[in-house]
Amino acid sequence: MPLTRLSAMTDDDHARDKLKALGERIRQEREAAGLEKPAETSTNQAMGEGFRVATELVVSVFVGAGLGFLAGRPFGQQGIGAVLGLMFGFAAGMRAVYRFMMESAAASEAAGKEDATDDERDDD
Amino acid sequence: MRVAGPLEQFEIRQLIPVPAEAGALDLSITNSTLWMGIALGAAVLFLTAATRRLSLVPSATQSLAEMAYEFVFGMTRDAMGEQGRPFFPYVFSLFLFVFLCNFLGLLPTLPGTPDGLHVFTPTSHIIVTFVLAILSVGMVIVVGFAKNGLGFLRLFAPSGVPWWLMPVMVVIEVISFLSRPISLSVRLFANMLAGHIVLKVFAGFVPALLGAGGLVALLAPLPFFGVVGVFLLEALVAFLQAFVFAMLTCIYLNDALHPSH
Repeated sequence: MPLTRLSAMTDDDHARDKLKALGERIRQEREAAGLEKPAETSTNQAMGEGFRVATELVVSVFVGAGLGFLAGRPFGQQGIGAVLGLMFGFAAGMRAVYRFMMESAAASEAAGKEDATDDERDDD
Repeated sequence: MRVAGPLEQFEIRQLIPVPAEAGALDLSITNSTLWMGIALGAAVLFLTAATRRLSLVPSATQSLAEMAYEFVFGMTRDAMGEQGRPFFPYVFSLFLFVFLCNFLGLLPTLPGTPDGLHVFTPTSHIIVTFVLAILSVGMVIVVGFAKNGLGFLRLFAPSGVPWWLMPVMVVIEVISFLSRPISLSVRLFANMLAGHIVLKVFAGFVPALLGAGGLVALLAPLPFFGVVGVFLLEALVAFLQAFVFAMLTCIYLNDALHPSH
């Protein structure tokens, strides 16, 4: 490797280290001043996710019952149709909750992996 | 003194009537139309002001616009990957429009404002949120069939399910899919409606207690602080609901791009 490129790389590494140190100092200062609030962001996200799951569960039950009612109408069995639809709707709601849980688990697993990669990079 | 009830804020008032024949669509300009226009105008103004003089060290407006852009861009990338890039303009417009409709409706009406021009929240009407939801789900169906053809129907047949359970799962998945536009619209509409009613009820306690006079009037500051608290919570909900609406649109669009799950 030519010497010039080697020295340029060292300069780059030096600059990167300095930048990283500066970033860390800013983060610490912000934390000390109470400006760094990662917990609040996750609370907001959790609230949004809560709204999402709750509505999906409730609405699925109503949609299931409505569809069951309509499906039973040609046979004159709206009541039975609605009850059956209600059950399917509840199952659809539970399925939505299950899907959401799987998505969350996959997301937190991916975030864990990313953190591990970051730590490895820091060790390097 | 006449005090408006908590539900009067949701009344639709005709501002510019457009005569329609019986059975035809009424295309009159209403307070809802006006506030949707204001939200749209605010979005255009904000983005024009933010991108007028771009600089490496951003101004406050440019920084705010960049934050909004990166926030929505990250959301589309996380949910759909690189394939989701063409949908970014739609998701960004949707997010900004819903957020501004929610947020501008929280601002107090100036005293003396003519009747019909009071601050209004278009997203507190289910028909508005339903149209937005249908737009998103309609796009999912169009993109799904355009990208995958009939393979899009695999969305209703989850993988890894035994054959004897498949008919039940298909019914469940169809109900789940049909409830998407309803849950999207009900969530946004119900949050906006309930929040504004609570705000108005709390605000109504202040003049009611003051009007009662005597020692009871001393309690008036309590609901006033309640209004401040509820307002802050509603500002957060205005953002959260726009975020949830945009995020779910991304998740549903991802289903259109990758129907097998």
